[in-house]
Amino acid sequence: MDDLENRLRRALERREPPASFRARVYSARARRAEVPRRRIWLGWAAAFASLVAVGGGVAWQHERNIQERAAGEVARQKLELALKITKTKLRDIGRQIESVQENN
Amino acid sequence: MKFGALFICLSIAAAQDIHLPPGLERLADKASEVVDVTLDASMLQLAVRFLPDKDPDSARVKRLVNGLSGIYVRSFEFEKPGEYSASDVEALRSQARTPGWSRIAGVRSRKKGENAEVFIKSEGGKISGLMILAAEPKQLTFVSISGFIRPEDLPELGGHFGIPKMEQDSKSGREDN
Repeated sequence: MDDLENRLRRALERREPPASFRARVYSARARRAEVPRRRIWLGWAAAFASLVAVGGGVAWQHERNIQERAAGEVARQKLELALKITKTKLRDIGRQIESVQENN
Repeated sequence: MKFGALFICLSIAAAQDIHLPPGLERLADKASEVVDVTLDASMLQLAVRFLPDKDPDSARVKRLVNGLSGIYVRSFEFEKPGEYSASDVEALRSQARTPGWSRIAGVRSRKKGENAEVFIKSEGGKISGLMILAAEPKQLTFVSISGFIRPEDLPELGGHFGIPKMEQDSKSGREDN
């Protein structure tokens, strides 16, 4: 029984941690604190990159729409001009044919 | 992929339907006013998208343009007569000497020195091209429209089966391109 008591006492008696223990604890705590900070930074970077990408896409689409509208307006004006010249020429030829027919 | 290649080939074929004589561009240097309109199929489709939606004229133009593969207009206005030669006119007329083309109207005035002709191209009983060549002492105009034109759409172009439609057009002024 005495032997058991002695063994228990020895097992439960207070022992000082090794000298490096404190340093290891502080180092582990610092590492743990570093991970969330890095995650937050990466989150912000991802959000910023997404914002830039979306903003860039919107700006590009807007610019593309402006260019397409300008090209479309030019094409429409050219079409109207071409049809107007065609109409005018056919009308003139028609009038001349009519004039010849009237003279005959 | 094959359809894409086929579409490109057809587009090139349509674009190559008109071979403007090289000398024609030389006339631009002599002309005081030049109208140069080249609208291929893609440009025509783009133009149609920008026509006003509710305008009844636009609806007719859209219907007309739907079957077209190209519109080419060259018009030169000169300060004085004699700036273009008979060979220039002949080079343009030769465009209509290819199979399928026929001359449907022609007016010639020796007194005024004017000569105007209208040609149509037909394929399988359908009109697939229209060409106008108008030579005046101080003006030379060439219009070529390629693609299928329905007879009911001819009035939209100012004519009907080779008999040009008589109509008053209050906006007949020329514009420079």
